[in-house]
Amino acid sequence: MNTPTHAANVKIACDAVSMTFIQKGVQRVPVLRDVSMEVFDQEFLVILGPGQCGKTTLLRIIAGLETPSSGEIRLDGAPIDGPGTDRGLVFQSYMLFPWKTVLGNVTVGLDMNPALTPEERRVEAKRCIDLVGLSGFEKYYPHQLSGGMKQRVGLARAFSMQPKVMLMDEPFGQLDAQTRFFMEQETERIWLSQKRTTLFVTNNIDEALLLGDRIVTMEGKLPGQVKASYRVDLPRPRDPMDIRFLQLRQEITDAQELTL
Amino acid sequence: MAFETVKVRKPLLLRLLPFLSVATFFLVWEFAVSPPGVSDWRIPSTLLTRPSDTLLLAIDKLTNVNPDGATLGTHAWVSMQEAFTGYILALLVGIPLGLLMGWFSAVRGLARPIFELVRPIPPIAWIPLTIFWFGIGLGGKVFIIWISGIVPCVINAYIGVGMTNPVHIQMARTFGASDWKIFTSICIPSALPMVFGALQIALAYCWVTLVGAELLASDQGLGFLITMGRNLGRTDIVILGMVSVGLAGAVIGCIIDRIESKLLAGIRR
Repeated sequence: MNTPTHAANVKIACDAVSMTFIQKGVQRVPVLRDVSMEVFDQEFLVILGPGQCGKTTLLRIIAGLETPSSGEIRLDGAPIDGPGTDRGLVFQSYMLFPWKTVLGNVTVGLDMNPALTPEERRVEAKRCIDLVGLSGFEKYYPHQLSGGMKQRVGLARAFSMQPKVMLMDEPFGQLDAQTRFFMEQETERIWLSQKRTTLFVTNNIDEALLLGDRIVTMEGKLPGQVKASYRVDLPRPRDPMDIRFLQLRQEITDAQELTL
Repeated sequence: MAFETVKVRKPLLLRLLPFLSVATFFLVWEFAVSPPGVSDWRIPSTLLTRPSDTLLLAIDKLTNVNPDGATLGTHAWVSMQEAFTGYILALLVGIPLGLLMGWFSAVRGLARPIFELVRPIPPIAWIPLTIFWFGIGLGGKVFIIWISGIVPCVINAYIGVGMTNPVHIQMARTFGASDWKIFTSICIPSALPMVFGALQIALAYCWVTLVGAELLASDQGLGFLITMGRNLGRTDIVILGMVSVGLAGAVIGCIIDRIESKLLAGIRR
């Protein structure tokens, strides 16, 4: 384990989080067991694990969409109790409103804030649309956009709330390989420009190594537990053919029983 | 960057098919009643009339009040008034009620049992009561039409809200949206396709019930025209009434279709 330890820099702290789903009223499915980890300020942390390992559940608990069976999660020292605008969420399935334009989708969160004037909302939404490179597409509807563009809208919508942290749940899982690589580069560019603390969940080891400051791996079976943490001390942008990149990739792969 | 909008026209034959099918239908009907080249035989007009005779009658009935007491226009106008008053009242009450039932469990708990009790009663079964209450004028028929139209409105709006993507709701919660805000800005748009379905279904219900109601209790209207045709033994009047009901219903359906596709531009893909 190779992590910084100064507590002042801890942004998100997961403290012995366990989660058990009750299925059909009787069957208990343990999904997470004693997950403890930290995300540090301005860090890009990747949670890497195969499907069905509880990583999405962990993200949803941090987002406040699920309540853990036991344990606690703190954001900036304050326990998380339900969803909030301080966490920006990006879903794998985009989750855009089909009846709203790009601009309308990005403005959704801002519209909930009565303190903003319509003009301020528009300007802020425009800024986020520019940030994700979608200028000129404000008036398009989601069904007119490609997968990559839809996820850009999802990113812009999350950015619009100026969250303290970004929570990204396999955001590029539905994209083709080329678009995915391109979106990973875009994510890195945006993260470098803002240094907003990001928790990124993926099952793709190359994506994890391209983006993460640190990678936390999870056990390949339920209940989900943290397995190991790796520091990725490589200069950005990273080269997937770099020897240290490949060495670290090998190290992580060897430690997982499931091939990533 | 921007996309071009390209209009694709269907081949001529495909566009003509609907007209061809209607024209064929009426031609076959016409010649079946009185086959061309056969002068001494035709289906007796007490059984079935020719479309051409019905058309002539329709033109005549535009100005002639005999034998049923009103012109075709008056009949149609009376029917429209009844149907639309009942229909619009059904939409105004049924859709908000269904939407609220879909999202707020208190409304659901209060309204659902009563709704489920009233729903299985065929609207026509209300006719005797409405004659006691309203006589045979506008009010009674509006009431029956309202009863028949409100059912699909409530059901569709209710189901439509239930079809809201739960992740959309969760996402709105992460943006700090209140229950009411989620209802108005997410549940209602999500329910719109179902609600528009209800507009069509309710109209069909209303129109069908209207004719049923007019057959039993009225002194004007297209349903009354059909009844009069029956009493007088005039198949042409009966068919004129039926065709008028069909045509008017189809035209209204088309208009609602147009409005629907305009309003749902972003949802249908």
